[in-house]
Amino acid sequence: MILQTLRDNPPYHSQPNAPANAASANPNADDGFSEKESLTGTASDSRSLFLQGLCELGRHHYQHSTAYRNIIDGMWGGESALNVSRLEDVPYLPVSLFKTRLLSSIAPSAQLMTLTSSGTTGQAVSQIVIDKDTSTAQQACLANSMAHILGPKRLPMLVIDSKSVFSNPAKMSARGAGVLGMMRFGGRPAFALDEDMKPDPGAVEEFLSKFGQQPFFVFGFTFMVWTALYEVFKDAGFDLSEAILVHSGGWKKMEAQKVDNSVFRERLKSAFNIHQVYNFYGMVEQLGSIFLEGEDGLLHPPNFSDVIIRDPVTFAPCRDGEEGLIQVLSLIPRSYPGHSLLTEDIGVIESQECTGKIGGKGLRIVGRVPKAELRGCSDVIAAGSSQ
Amino acid sequence: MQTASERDAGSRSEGIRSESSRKSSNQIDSSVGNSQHNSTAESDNVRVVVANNTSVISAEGYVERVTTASQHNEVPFAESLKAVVKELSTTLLRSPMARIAPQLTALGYWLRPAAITRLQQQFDSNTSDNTVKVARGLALQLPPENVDTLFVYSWVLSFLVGNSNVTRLPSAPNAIALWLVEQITAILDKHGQSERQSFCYFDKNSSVSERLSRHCDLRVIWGGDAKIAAVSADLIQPDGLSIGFSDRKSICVLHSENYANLSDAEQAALAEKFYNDTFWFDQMGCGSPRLLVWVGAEKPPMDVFFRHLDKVIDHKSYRVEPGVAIDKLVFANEMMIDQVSQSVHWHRAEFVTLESNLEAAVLDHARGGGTLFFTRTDSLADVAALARRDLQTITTFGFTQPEKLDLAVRLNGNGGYRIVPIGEALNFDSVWDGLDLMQQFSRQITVR
Repeated sequence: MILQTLRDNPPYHSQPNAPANAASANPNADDGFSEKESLTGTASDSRSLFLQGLCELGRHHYQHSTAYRNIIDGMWGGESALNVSRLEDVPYLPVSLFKTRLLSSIAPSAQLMTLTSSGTTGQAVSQIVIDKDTSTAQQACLANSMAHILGPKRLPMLVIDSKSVFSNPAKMSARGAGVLGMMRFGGRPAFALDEDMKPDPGAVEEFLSKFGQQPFFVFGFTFMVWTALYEVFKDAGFDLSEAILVHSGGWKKMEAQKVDNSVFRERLKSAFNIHQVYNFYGMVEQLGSIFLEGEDGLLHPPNFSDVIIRDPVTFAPCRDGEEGLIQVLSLIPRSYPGHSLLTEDIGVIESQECTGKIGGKGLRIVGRVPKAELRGCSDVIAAGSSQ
Repeated sequence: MQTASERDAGSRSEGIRSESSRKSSNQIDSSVGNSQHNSTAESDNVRVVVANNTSVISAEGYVERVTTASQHNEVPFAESLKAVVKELSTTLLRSPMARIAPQLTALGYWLRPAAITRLQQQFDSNTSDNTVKVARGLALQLPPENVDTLFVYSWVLSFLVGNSNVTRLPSAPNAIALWLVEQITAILDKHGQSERQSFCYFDKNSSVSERLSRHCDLRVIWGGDAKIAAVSADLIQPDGLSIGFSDRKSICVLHSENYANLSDAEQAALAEKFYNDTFWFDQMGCGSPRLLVWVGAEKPPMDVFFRHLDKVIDHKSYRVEPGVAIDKLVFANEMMIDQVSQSVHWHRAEFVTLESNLEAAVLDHARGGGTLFFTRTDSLADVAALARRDLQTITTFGFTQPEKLDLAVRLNGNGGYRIVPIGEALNFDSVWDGLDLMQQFSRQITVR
């Protein structure tokens, strides 16, 4: 309920007259999720409903996850800490905890799959336990968010990647899973890279000649869009004015090339006349909840999610405009206690305005907290390199 | 969970301590980079420091120079050796550097003539009419990467008993260590000792360590289990001695009633000493306590103790980096999940306490930067339950000497090599980890 109510009332705060393509469109929802309850009240009603949902989820995890119960009892003063009247009082877990401990609120038999975060070799990865209900909710929520920008119809899709990233299920990477997940929101996919990860101009041209005159969907990871679309085809004279480009994956790799969001948008516009560009922020620990980029260039949480910025040392909530750690909250995680997570990303809330069709709380990602290592008598350098 | 309400806590003060800790995290990056770089093109050269000059010598040339110089041993505690130490002590105590780096004052004080006389008495104490103590020969000193003054303590004891020493300096020494090396080598040079006492840099992946080891009569390895294992692969002289100072963990024990009976000022003074023990090296020193054991009362005066400590942390402007704060948050959550502790108190990012049981396993959990387990028990003797090989320092408050001696007997060599007052956890002693270093660093000749 609360999740569905929030999700189905346009998932992002929008101006009353802004064209919210997806207000009532959810092509992927099954019957269980299509009942709609109109939320006619104000934004603050939606937030109080959201908080109520979080409290309910907290109690659910307290009952079903021993690990979560131990944390709430030992660190937060017990079950009463779950009934709060302010969003910033909702207990939170550090997101890295999912890398070192398995946290589950379901019986092992109910487990549908384990999601794993991407990570370079040797790095610990998050393990997220998913059951059928949570999986369904993730998909329905994501579908609503995507429909908000893509409209009710399934559009032809150009993938800025290679089929090979997901063609071998045994070697499925987070990138492959990401591409595959997005392909559910488009039709008749074409790939800008061939199976050997080489640019495939023929495939792009063929796609554009068939579908380029009507709205179409382009998806790729930010770095891929830059290196495999922009850098390869910038002089090819492609007209992508009908494209709705969705990209994600962060700016870390882009920093080396001195490309930030505004440069990215500007260049794509001048090279291909792309003017609908949507970056999004999301993580495997809160799959289904994506913070979508609005016309203001900021990232906006969907209705069933929220964000708090906290001081990186004291963890006290920050005021708007102050940089700090990003805490993400979502009503989706039910099979694992991930509804309130303190990330290691640094961000700032720059706007609370509703402009365009994606508005409300506007987040800008600034970077990540640098890893800190305390060293003592033990000689970590010798230890590390002697092997 | 409680978070500090003061928003101004975010404004960082930049003390020398936090500056050097930031520096050390940079050092990790740069030296990791170096070692990766060097693994492709390993340098067999040795960079030798004399005063503020360094000269680069090939490994062969260096080994030959060192072994030649070491053919002559000095007599233990010869006046010429003590003169060097005396001048070093004076230099340290008079230096403006010592004002910003108190570890230099501590070192200078440790090296003052009166202290050296005591060391000499200690060295001679078990010498009878039919023994003569002599140097061992050539010593290779491998100090830790990150305790900036330790290399001096280890070197000076070996120097005073007459050995020739090669001291490998940390790959990325901080400003204090650099300054120290400059002073020491300048004094040695002035006293004509620089051939026999060499301070140098060489790549640990190069052949230098192996070549030097082969000629060593003594090798002293600081820096933990992994380093000892790595270095021990290199053979030393067949009759040589290799001593490794392995990973150690420490605790603090307080007598509840005696603590409660202290005046407010006395409690504040004790908190300051405890702070120095704990926060000096971000609680990562071997001697820094991880577990606080209260002996006596059912309800120990913990809140009072923590309140005093909190004030000191504030006063000293101890701060942790955001990465450390997050790491500690993850750690506290893990401890709750694993039930190593059932309750955590988040005083502030710099100071987190976790209630636990009196179990040695608690010592395996540490995150540093002000993360302290605490528990209570009935008598000091119970602390013997924590005895295990890697238990090093037990700092205490409020116990009688017989009680402490009784604990030492109960520990029975299974750990707990130092039982010292709060405030002395990090003080270096010539008896370390149960070994009398000067005896180990020398030989005895029987004369009958």
